Amino acid sequence: MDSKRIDIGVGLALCVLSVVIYWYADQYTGRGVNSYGPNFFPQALSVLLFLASMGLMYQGFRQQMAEALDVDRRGLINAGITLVLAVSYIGLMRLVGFYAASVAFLYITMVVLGQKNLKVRIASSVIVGSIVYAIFFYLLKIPLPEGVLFESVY
Amino acid sequence: MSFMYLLDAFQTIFSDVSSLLFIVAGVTAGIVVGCMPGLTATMGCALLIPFTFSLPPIQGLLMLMGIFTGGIYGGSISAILIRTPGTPAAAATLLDGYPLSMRGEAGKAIGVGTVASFVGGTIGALIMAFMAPQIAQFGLKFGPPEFFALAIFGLSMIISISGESLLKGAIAALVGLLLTTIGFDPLSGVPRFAFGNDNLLGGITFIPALIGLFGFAQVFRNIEKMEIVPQVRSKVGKILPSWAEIRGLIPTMAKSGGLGAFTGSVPGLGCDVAAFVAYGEAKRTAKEPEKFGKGALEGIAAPEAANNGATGGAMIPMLTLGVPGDAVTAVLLGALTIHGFQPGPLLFRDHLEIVYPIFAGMILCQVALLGIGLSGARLFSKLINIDARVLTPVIFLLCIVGSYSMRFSFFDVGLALLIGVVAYFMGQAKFPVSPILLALILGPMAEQNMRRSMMLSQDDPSIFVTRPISAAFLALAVLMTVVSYRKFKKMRAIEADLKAKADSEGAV
Repeated sequence: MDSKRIDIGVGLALCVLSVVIYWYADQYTGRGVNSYGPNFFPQALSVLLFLASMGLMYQGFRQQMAEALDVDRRGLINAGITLVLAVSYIGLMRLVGFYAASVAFLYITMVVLGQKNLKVRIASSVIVGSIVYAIFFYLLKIPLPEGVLFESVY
Repeated sequence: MSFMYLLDAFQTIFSDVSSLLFIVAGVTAGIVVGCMPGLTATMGCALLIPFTFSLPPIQGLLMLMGIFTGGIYGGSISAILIRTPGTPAAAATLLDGYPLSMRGEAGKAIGVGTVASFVGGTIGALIMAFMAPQIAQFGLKFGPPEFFALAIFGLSMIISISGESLLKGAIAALVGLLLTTIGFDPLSGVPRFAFGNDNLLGGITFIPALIGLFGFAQVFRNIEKMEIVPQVRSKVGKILPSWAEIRGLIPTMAKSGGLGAFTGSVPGLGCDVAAFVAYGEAKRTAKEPEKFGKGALEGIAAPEAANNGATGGAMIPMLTLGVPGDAVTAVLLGALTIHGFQPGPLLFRDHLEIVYPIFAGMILCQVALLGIGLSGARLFSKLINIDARVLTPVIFLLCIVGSYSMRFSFFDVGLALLIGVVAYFMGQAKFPVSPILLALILGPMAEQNMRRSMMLSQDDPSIFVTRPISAAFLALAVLMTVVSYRKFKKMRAIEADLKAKADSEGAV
């Protein structure tokens, strides 16, 4: 994917989005003492977004030298895997509680990112998990998920 | 009058040891985040705000001041040691800091940077303490049209934070403004764009948005580049510069601190611009300008005094008018709101018990910075060498916990992740994300005051130009847009020129 295609594609998507927003905001018609109701601001912004997006598309079409995107494919895959891990972590946190899920998340993420030293992985996950838990739960008194499996323990 | 309030504020802080501890904790955390390349001061503040939620307001705000001050200073450590500024504000410091480091005098460079940060930061904080109340007094005359014009003036600085493309910056700002229309309309109570989801009725929550834009997105970028950016080892020698060296630098530090405070107080310029302006000025007036770029101590003292002086300056429009000067002050503005205080002129009328401790705290932060910076330089320099494969998962975890802890909501975590992914791809497509943050802050201010003004004038838009202060702000917004646009074009032309030159040299 190059910069020219991205500009045209993003411009087109935003044009469509701005039309949808304008149409959808029409239901929030003004009531009360003046005609500038809850619809005015989103509709005015969607008009401006439409114009700016058209400008972006125009700029894209005019681009003579398209720049290739500076993306490292392997790194992008790792970022994607980490995102999946984060979503799984949120689910796991509800099941096994904050502490256990956090230690597991830290450990697995380090494996994915290529940390080869087993001792570093274990020590960092347990120590960081414990510190974060202690700070948020005991010091800042923020109720962290206990997990349905361990609710009886607490 | 201000002076007495300031003394009272010092007394309030000193009467409670925990307040001092929170300043120390904030400055230390700020330096740690600031000195690690890839973690900006904005990201640091975003990540560390959740740690202040359960604290009493004064302590929470003191800690945030510490993070801000420490974050801006911390960037200089990695700039000097590994030629990678931890924050954009430290970019000018590496010009002379790194050559000194190459000569084995990294410790001295860090020492000079620390002392200069202390001097500049103190000057900035004092200017803030004595100027801000006067500006706030003026701000009490504002009504809805003036606030609308002020929001437009604030939004006009998008040009200066738009990065490579002005159009993309404007699009990002418009997207941000549209995000602010989600949830209950503040004037009529009509729910907008909530799609039946109760979590969206209150609007996009600030902290998840912030952590998504500056936390998750940066983590994804760090993970993506991990394979290709090599880790650099660093070494620190003797840290304390001699008194004779410091004495010779005092005029440069004082001048740069004042210049930094002034530059920082102009919305849109911020700490990085202040550092370069001061560097240029120091070089212009130096007895031996040819030494600049080769390890001149003035070349470190000037930008460091200026970027820390700018922290005080940038707080002036944020506190007095509710208009953030840059992304970091936008984060601080959001933090103040979370603690129940709405920055603006009324803050100075209704909450003096908060305002003056902020001023006093900012001054004490500089003292803490001097002590912690000088004594901990060796330790902080070691942090730069922490393996990114360990650090990145830790930051990822903090982002998740931080976005959860505002409302104890998994919806917020999901929202932050979604915003993070979008912001990451925006970065890939060269869309800046800072305008979104600015729009999130200024959007509600613009909409509510625009509609209130129209109600006052019975739909006559001339209200914005017939009231002198409102007209002046709108004129300033136009002027700033034109001037910034010209500067933007000039910078692009210079960059293109340099690139063409480099290409032709490469061809030869």
